[in-house]
Amino acid sequence: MFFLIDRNISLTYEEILQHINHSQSYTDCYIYPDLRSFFLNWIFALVNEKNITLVDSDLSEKEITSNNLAVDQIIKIDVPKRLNSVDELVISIRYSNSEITLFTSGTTGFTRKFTHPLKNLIRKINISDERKNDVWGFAFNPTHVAGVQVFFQAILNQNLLVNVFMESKDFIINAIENHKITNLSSTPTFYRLLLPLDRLFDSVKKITIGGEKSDNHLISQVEKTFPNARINNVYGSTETGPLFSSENDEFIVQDKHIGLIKVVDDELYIHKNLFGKTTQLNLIDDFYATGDLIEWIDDEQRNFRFTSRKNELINVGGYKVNPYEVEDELTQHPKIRNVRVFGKSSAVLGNVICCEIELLSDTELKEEDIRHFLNGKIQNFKIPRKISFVEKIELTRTGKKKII
Amino acid sequence: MREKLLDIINSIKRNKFEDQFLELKPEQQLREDLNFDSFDLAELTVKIEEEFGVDIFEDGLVNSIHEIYAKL
Repeated sequence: MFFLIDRNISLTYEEILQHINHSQSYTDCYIYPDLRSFFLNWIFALVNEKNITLVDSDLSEKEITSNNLAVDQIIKIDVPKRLNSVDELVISIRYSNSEITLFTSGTTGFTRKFTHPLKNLIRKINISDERKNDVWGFAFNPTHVAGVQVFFQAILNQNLLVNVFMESKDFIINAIENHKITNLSSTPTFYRLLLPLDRLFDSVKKITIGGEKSDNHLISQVEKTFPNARINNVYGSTETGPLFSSENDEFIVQDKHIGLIKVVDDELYIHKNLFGKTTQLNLIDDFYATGDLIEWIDDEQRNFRFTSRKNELINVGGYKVNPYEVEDELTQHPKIRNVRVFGKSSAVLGNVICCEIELLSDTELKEEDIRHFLNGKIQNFKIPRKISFVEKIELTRTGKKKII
Repeated sequence: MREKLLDIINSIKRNKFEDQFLELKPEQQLREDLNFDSFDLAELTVKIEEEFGVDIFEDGLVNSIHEIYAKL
């Protein structure tokens, strides 16, 4: 029974068991050579209730020194746990007392670390017989919070993970077909790069979108391509773990969250009780300011939609421009595959709105076509003044669009 | 250089659905004669910087075509 397929490398549940039963040590802050080694190392630490720090395998010397990381520390275990079956393996992972340290990276670079007890990370994981046959397209960086979620969801249900992270469109299509992938979980950027597809994929039963702001246009495109899929738009972060989920871009404040979330100057604040034990957050009256801006959809203030990140609004001559609003308009153009809107400093206006555009293959657009397209759709000050057409929009380590 | 600058200015005029210029005159004022607002000026500076590697507004405002020529 396979746990992982990563191009020509694979890993079965039986091999994991063998590794657990024959190893004496694991590596903390492991600069791993491949996904198989990464998971074997991590699972060994989990089963033996050891704390572990997960880091990206492509860290530069500068990042290692500036974050004071002691990488590749071999930790020996005197009496390692031995297991008899895959069921036992899954149970010992599920109830492990390990703490897992992750780094925020996302859209603004490699910065702070957060330590989560395992039970905090898996509180949204569903384990049931119905999920036994799920096959996951693994489309996240494994060392970041979203990838960690997919890992636990898959292993605790004894599912197969097929790695498609940062792979080409054709590779992903083949993987969905050949392995009959049932579950996909990734960022809006991943789906924007994958779509549109000229045929439908019936095998996919569930699609999760998260990690960046999503929009209804993208969600409807995803629905068309994967007609049997239930769509789940999720909100969470390295700091808080998973928090809200929804079938479209509107989120609902559940009864149990009343009093635990509040909105100050459009910014979402979350009470510390919603994200379990962590001491590394700056709290204001026990609330954590997420930096995520929302708008209420109803008067009762129960339904909301994310609009932007606080530090991502671009000040243009005194006007605040939400880059996502501009991106949302542009991605509706039939010839545009993906866009990135950002500010560039300007002596005249403070910032100028710039955008990079990735076109669908065999299509052509000129700067003035873009300007004509946006004219009348959004206010003049929001229209990008510098438009470049690029082969590929650069992504961060976690597969999101770079902000700066 | 002058031709490139004309191209840049005309690209901004096109974006505004305004008539393009056949030639530029040194005495033309960016705001009054070219009808450029502050957004157009910002667009002009990023495009000039991209083409010539020079930020024309780096040390103070520039008002005329002549002053742009001088910076370049």
